[in-house]
Amino acid sequence: MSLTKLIDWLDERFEIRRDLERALRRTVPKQASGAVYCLGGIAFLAFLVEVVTGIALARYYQPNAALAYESVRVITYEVPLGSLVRSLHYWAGNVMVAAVLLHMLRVYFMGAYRKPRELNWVVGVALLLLTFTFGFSGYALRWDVASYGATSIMVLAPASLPFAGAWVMKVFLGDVAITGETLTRLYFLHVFLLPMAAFVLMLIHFLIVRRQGIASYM
Amino acid sequence: MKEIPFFPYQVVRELALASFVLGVLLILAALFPAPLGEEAVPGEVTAIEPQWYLSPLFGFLAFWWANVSENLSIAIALPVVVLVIILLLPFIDTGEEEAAPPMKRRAWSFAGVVFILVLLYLAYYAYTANFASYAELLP
Repeated sequence: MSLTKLIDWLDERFEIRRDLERALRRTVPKQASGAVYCLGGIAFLAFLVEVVTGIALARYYQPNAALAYESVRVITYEVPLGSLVRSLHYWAGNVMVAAVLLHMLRVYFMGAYRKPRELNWVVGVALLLLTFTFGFSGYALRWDVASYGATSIMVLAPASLPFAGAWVMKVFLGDVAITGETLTRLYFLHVFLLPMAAFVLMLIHFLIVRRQGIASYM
Repeated sequence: MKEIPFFPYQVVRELALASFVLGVLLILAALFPAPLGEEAVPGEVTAIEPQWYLSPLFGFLAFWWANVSENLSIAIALPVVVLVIILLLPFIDTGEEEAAPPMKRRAWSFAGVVFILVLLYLAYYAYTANFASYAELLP
């Protein structure tokens, strides 16, 4: 079936032709194909790589303190292509953080957060925090000596705050020490809560860009 | 301002860039596999390696501990304050134009560069700080 026939078939049922043509015929500012404008898109692409490789890794990973490290070892040394998928997840994560930070610098130095784009800056900062939390929680899942130490600092430093510090950490991470309870909660954060929040915030971020267009001073 | 059609021009450009980025990711993953150290022993902290993007935060905590005070309350509150300021930036910088070149916003550009340099210094501090200076942060 040719593409035209497929579109005809769909159009008969859903009347998509008009919307499709309008979407494809839209014009974008030529400026938007400049090099510095690709950073947000690269962050999103890296995120998609994280979703695909993350789903593959979740089929083997064991979110349990006694089994976690061994399952990462099995993924790395025994599962076919396991090391490649894990390394892709690792690198796409680093590229995503770098792209998000550079994207933010671009917006900052152009002053593109000014009226009318205030709220999209706020959504963007929330996405930056989500990205950091993704990285922090994912790193903890590796459960090797280096990541365990870094996670301990991130969790125990806030727990040392007076009044509610220890209580808040206990509620969110199950314990004021890094135990299996913490690992399970960080896993839930990493593979469920954060992805859900990221999908929603990214959709809002992109819809706002679509509605407002790209800031320009030319 | 000059406009170009989204389809096919922009779509083809985006696909080309996406292919390039995916290729770079594959090459990085193949040449430099993700590291995996020794297994952690719960309750025992023998090494601390923050990720590069969290190292300014770790550097700040270690710097505060070594040079300012052993009370970390303010050191933990301060990054939160900085974050709130960043979050509220569009309501602080209420310039007339919707965007302007960096050289026309000299004060803001200067502040941005200084902030980046501070973060870089703190990251450097985190990488050169000895392990003991972190271990002391643990209660």
